[in-house]
Amino acid sequence: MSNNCLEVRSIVKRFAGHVAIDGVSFTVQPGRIFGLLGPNGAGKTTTIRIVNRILMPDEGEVLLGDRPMTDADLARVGYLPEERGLYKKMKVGEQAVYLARLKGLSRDEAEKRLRRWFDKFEIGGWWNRKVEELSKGMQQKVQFIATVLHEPELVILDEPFSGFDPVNAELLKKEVLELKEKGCTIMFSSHNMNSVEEICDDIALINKSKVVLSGEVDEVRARYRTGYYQLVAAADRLLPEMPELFRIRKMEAKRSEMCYLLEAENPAMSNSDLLRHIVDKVEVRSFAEQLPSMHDIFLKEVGGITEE
Amino acid sequence: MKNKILLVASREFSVNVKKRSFIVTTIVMPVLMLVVMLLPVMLMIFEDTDRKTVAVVDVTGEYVSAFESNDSYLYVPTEKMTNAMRSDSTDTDAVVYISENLVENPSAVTVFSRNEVPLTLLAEVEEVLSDKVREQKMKQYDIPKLEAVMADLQQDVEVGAVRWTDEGEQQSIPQVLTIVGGIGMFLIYIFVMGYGAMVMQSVSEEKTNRIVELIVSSVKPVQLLLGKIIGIGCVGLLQMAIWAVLLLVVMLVVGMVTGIALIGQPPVDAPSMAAAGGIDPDILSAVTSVATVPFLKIFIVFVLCFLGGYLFYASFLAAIGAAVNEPQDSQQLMMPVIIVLMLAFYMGYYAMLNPDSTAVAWSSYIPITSPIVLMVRVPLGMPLYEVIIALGVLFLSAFVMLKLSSKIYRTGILMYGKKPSFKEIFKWLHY
Repeated sequence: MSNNCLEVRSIVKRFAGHVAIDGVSFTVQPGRIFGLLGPNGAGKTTTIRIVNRILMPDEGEVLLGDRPMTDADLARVGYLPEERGLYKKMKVGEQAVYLARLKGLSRDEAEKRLRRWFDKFEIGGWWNRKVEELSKGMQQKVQFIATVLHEPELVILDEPFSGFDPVNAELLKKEVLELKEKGCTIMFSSHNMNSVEEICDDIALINKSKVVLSGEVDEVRARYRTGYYQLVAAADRLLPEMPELFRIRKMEAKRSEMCYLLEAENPAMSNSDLLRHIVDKVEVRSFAEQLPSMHDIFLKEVGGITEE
Repeated sequence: MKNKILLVASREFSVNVKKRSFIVTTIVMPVLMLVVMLLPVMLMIFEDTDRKTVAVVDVTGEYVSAFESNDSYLYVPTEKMTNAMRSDSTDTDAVVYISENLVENPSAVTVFSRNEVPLTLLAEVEEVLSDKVREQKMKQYDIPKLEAVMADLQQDVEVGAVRWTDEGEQQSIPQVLTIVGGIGMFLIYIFVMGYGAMVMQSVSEEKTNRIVELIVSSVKPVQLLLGKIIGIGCVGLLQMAIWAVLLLVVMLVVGMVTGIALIGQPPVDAPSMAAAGGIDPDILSAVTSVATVPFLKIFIVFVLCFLGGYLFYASFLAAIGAAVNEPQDSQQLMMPVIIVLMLAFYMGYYAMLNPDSTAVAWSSYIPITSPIVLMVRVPLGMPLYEVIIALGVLFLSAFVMLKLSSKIYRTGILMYGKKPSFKEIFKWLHY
C-alpha cells in the first residue's frame, strides 16, 4: 500500500434527515501528510469513518491504488479516533496487546513491539497499571502507541491535536514526522490551521459536506495570493507610487527604515519583475510577498460560503 | 474473520471471569446456601447434650406419671415447690407446676425457670399434658373401646401417582418434579437476566468509554457484538458447569450418607430401605424420589434454554446498551425488559400449578416466555417433539433478534448526544 494512493471518489453519506457528506473526493499521495480541514460539523469525521470502513458510503467508493479498499486492508491502517478511549479496568499492557492482536499481530510480536514503544516513551513501568490510574496525558500516549503499533502504512488521526496537552502535542507532531520519514502515509483532520501549515503537504478543505478546496499547501497558498507585499527600505529616499505597477497601501517609518505595504496592480506579474522596478528607486532592505496563512484561507472559504 | 470474534470473546470472557462479582456468586453463594441448608442439621448434631433437670410438682397427682424422661429433659417428680429451686443452688433447671385438674381448668399449669423457658420444653409439656387430658376426657364419655376407635381414625391416606408412558407405568412424583422445575425456572430467570444485563453493560461501557470507535476500526460491529455475546455466554456456561459439579458432589455425599445412590441407579423400594437403615421413611422416600428425577435431561434442556433465552434477551439488551449514552438511561430502558421477564416468570409459576393449560402450552412456544416455561414443563414430562419445536422457535427468534439488534448496535455505538427516541432507533434498522 505504501506505493498506493488512497483515493476517495465522490462519496455521499446521508443520515436520517440530512446529508453528512455530499460528493467528497480527494487523493492522499503515498508518503505524504494529508490534512482534512473544515469547521466542526463539516463532515470530516464522517469522511474518516468511511475511509476506516466504520461507515459505508451511500454512493461513491474508496480506492487503494486502483482497487476498492476492503476489510482486509484495515490491518494496514492505524486509526486514532477523535473520541479516544480505553478500557478503564484493563491493564495497560494487556489492553495494548489486545488492540494490536485485533489488527492481526501475534501476541508475542505485539508484546515485543510494545516493550520497545514503552521504552521509547519512557512509560515501561505502566505495563501492569490499570488505565483508570493513568492521567489523561498518559492515556493519550498509550492510545497513540496502539494506533501505530502494528506499523500501519496509512495512519489516520482524527483531530489529533485537540485534547492533547502541549507536551504531548509536540511529541505527537514529532512522531508524525518520523512516521512520514519511514514512508508512512498520514491523513489527519483538524480545525487547527497552524498545525496544518507546519506539517501538512496536501490539504482538502471541507465545508458544509463538500470539498471546497484542495491541493498542495504551498500551491493553495499561492492560489490565494492577494498581491500584497511587505517592503522595508532605507528611509533616505521615498518610494513613489507607480499606479501601473503597484499602489502603496500603508507607510510607516521605523528609525532609519521605511516599511511599505504594497498592492500589486497585476497579480500575474512575477515577484522578480516587481522588485526590479523597485530596486532602482530605493535601497531595499527586505521584500516579501504576503501570502495568506491557511487560517486566512480557511476563514475566507468557510466564511464566504456561510454568507451565501 | 472468525479469529477476531474469538479474540473479542476471549477478552470478554477473561475480563468477566476475573471480576470479583463472578467469583463471589459462583463459589461463595452455593457454599453459603449449603451452609444455610445444613445449619439445622449441624445444630442438631452439635446441640448441647446436657440433660436438663425438670422438677414436676403435680398437686393433683394425676399427670406426673405421664412425664417420661428423655435425652433432653430429666423429669423428677417432686412433692412441692421450694424456695431453694428459685436459686441456682439446686440442680433443678425448671419446674412444671400443675395446680388443678386440667380437664376442669386447662390453664392450671405453669413452667418456672430462672432462665428463659426453652421453647422445646414448653412444647413437650404441652404435648404430654394435652395427650393426657384427651385421654381423660375420652374416659369421661365412658364409651367402650373408644381409644381403639380413635387410634383407628388416625389414618393418613397416601395417594400414589402413576404416569402412563410408552414404556409402561411409572411411579410419578409430581411434587419433587414441580420443585425441580421451579428451581430450574428460577435459575433460568437469573441466568438470562444476569448475563443479558452483563452484555448490555459491556456494550454501554465501551460506548461511554469511547473505545468502541477504535475497536470497530479493526473489527466489524457484528463481530464485536457476536464476540461479546459468545464470551459472556461462556462465562454463564462456566458458572453453570461449576454449579453442576458442586451439585453432583453434594448429591454423592448425601448418597453416601444415606446409602442411596441419587444418580445412576433405579430407585430402590423406600420402605424396605428404611427398615434396613433405620431412617425416617418420609425423608427416605423424598430422597429416593429425587433419584428418579431425570437430571441429565433437565440439565441439557436447561443449558439449551439458557443459550436460546440468553441469545434472545442479550441481543435485545445489547441494542439498548448501544442506543443509550449513559448507563443510567439503560437502567430506565431495561425496565420493560424486566417487566416482560417478570411476566414470563409468573407464567412459569402458573405452569407449575396448571402444566396442561392452553396458555401454558402457547407460552412454551413464545420466545419471550418459553425458556422459563420449558424449565417447568420438561421435568413434568413434556413430549420430546414439543420440546424440540419450542427450542427451535426459541433459537430461530433469537437469531432474528440478533440480526435486528446488530443493526441497531452498529448505528447506536457511534451516536452520541441526546437520547434517541424509539422512532429514531427504529429508523436505524434501515441504515
